[in-house]
Amino acid sequence: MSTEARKSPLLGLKAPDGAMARLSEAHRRGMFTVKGDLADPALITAVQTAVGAPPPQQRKYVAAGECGAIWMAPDELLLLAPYGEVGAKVRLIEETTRPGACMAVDVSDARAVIQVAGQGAREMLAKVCPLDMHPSAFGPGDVRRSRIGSVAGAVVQVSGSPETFELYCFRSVADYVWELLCVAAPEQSRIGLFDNA
Amino acid sequence: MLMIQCPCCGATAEEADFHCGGEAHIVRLAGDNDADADLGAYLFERANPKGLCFERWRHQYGCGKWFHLARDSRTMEIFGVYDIKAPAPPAEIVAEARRRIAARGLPEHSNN
Repeated sequence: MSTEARKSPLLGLKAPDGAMARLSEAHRRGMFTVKGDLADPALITAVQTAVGAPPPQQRKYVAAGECGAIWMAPDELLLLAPYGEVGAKVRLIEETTRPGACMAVDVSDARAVIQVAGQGAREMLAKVCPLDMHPSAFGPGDVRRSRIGSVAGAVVQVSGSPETFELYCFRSVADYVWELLCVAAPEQSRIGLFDNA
Repeated sequence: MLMIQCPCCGATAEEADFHCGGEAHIVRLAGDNDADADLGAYLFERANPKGLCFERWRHQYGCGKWFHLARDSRTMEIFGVYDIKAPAPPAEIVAEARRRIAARGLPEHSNN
């Protein structure tokens, strides 16, 4: 595997002017998938050591400095780390868990991460995802995997103030997701769905 | 549009986030049974009931896991979800389904 990060899948695409939320790409985000029994004490310790946080609860996200963890499925986590440190962290997980009990794979180049930040972010996401984006249903630290337009993706709220969301999608469809968000973005189209929520 | 609560990840999502995997609890043929008629029935013949039915579903855009779902194919009412490994519908889900179907004044299955 190349040690150089691949080019951004969004090269040449610009953030829209006059948008209700700020769009940006979190490029060179290191990511690795861990599959196994999330209640296994050895796996919990390994995840804690690798990213500085225990496995998050169901459909939750935890951040720890430059690292983090996203709950993807009952037996799967997506762990986040600086791009260059993923290889060492994958080895750490493999070496500190029982052989065959879990699997860790570097997937840093599999997905693109798009950040949507600002007051209109929630409404913008409500337009493109079939999710209940009301603040009472989706708050900081919440994760949902669903569809973004017509492709699979995960929505993570990483911060409540200012409201910041991260969209994880496969990099092959990143330009589609970006352009979809640009269509949903114009400030004139904002109806203030969650302004008084 | 059905709203389905996935028992594996707990999320309530719309039907399009899921994939229906067809009729549930189809019993495999015994290992030494290679009769054409039995194999044909096993592979292709489905009850397709009008009324209470049990299906396998997969949360394909979410956690990716399979589960079982009990619903009424007439009213689209969902009676419950349960583990994919269950060999038969749990008694409490069947009882709940029967109670709610009866409350609507419907038979468990309609003929036409």
